[in-house]
Amino acid sequence: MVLEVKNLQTHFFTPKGLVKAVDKVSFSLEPGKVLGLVGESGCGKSMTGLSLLGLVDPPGKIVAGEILLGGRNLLNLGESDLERIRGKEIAMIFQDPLSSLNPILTIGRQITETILSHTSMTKGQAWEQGITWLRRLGLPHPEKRMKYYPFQLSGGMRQRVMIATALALQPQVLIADEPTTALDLTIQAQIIEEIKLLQRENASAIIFITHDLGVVAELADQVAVMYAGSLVEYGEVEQIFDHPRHPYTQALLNSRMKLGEKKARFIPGLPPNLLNLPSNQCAFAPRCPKASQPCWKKKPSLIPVSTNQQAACHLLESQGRSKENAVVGA
Amino acid sequence: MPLLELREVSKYYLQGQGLFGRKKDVIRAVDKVSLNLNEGESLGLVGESGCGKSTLAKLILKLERPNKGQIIFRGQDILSAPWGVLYSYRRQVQLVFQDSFSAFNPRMRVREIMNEPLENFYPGQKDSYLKQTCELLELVGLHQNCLDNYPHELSGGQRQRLGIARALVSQPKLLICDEAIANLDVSLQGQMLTLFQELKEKLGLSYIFISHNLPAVQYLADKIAVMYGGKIVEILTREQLIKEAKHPYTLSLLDALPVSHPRERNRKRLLLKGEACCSAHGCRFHPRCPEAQEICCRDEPLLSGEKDHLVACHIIST
Repeated sequence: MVLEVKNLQTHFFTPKGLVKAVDKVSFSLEPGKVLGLVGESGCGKSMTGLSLLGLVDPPGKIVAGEILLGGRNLLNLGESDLERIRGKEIAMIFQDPLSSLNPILTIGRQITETILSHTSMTKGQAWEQGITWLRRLGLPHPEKRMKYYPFQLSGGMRQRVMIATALALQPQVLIADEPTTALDLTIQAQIIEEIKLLQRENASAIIFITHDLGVVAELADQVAVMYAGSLVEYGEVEQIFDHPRHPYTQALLNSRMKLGEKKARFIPGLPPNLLNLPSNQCAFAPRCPKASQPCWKKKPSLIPVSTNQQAACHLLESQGRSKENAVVGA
Repeated sequence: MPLLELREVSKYYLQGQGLFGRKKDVIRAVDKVSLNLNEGESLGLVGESGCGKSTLAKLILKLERPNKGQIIFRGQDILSAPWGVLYSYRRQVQLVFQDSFSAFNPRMRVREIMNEPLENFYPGQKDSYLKQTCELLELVGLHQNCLDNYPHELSGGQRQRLGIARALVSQPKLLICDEAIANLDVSLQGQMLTLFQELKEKLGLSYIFISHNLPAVQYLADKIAVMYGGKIVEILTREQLIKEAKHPYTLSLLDALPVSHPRERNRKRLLLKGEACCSAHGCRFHPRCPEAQEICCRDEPLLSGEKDHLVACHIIST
């Protein structure tokens, strides 16, 4: 296990009240595996990624939990230790590459800077290393491109630069926050193929944050579905696609537009406002077609529903309990 | 008579200011595009970013002036039309923006946002504004409670609905939606598509729906034009898109769609190499085309085929 997150809670103490952006989230990741973290905007998936890197700004704060990276709890480390780990052992790619690259530095300078700050390479070696990574990510003429400024590159190329920068140090864990959402389908397909290839070669573990279940189907080994700050379903990708157990997962899978569809299906209503969200009911209950009495009385917690699959739904509890003994590793 | 007709519309931009006679590059953003749109019909425009779909929308809205060609709306050429005709044209053709956040003045309340076009199109009828606003908000599925909200207090989906309500003030015949659902969540995209479909049926609207989301375009549009490098490479009906698409570019767009189940992830892909670039000679697509032959580098293919299915490709037509 390269990364283990236990009971992570990131809360925002806003003037208007408490926002539980990440509420008791637990998952684990093996080397070389991809975890797809899915949910609607505002469900806390990006905040989970930022929490892992210790990048939560006030009024937000990680109030409880453990983030175990190779056995060490990141939450017990000081800022200087974190800085050494960030980038080298755990790195993040953001959705918008234009705002995460420095517009007045060449991309070569930005890649080498990252490499130099974590290794004892010389400048020349770091430059070569940068070129190698850009080439591996399929950027044409990497020698020339190293001298370009971000504005001279297209969106797809910039995203490749971001991925190259993140991968150049071969981190054990890579968090990719919607890296293909702003790109064309054809470029998205290229980048997905490249990530697949790199992940096979490097055995990096990847957390892929997205709202696109198609991308999850392409890449992920495991899926964690998030709703209103909590995980509502967690399991192996095939199981989630074949037998989604939580009504929200089912609704998400159903609402994908497919070619040839005559009817647009969607989840009625809106995701809840996380501000002062009542903690004594299921957050999905107001939109759930199957909501019943117990859903309004108590927030369900994740229970095993089959081997390697958990869901948080009261409707599954009666079934879950009878199976619990048979489930290994629950 | 078609509602809107484009005849060989072209828009060229010059790149690099030619100081002291320096050579300028011509970028053919939209090149000899011809299209027909009948009343109540919807057209989907698909293609990668930079293929000229948004420029085409700007030309139709007359926000840009084409270098060549004619744009004919209900029998009248709007490029040479007098002011009065243009006034009514702009009433009948409206736009819904992609980024609903920057589309509104952040200091205006919903009520004021809606009042602006009302004052413009119905001057002196102040008493009826509130009633009209409420009707329109209801039509797009917004509650009257939000009348005094600022745009930032609305969710992304609600803002997009407000954008549609504002566009509907002038009772347009044609609504141009430029990536109108691209920034929304999957669950909301379905809601918006359903709304677009409802409005089409209720108001007899025509749409020009610009998107790179093929399933969404295919859901809403009666016919679909695929653009590459400023040219239309294929026009086909929504039914034909799935089974009868012919142009190598259309096929590769279809192929780039993510799989719907993890079991299919290892299928072979036609993966397009490189980024949208277009050649100055011959077929725009030939540098990336898996089927390109000699003739493709030399001659520019023309749209040809049956009435409702046109393809511009040398390989297909021979």
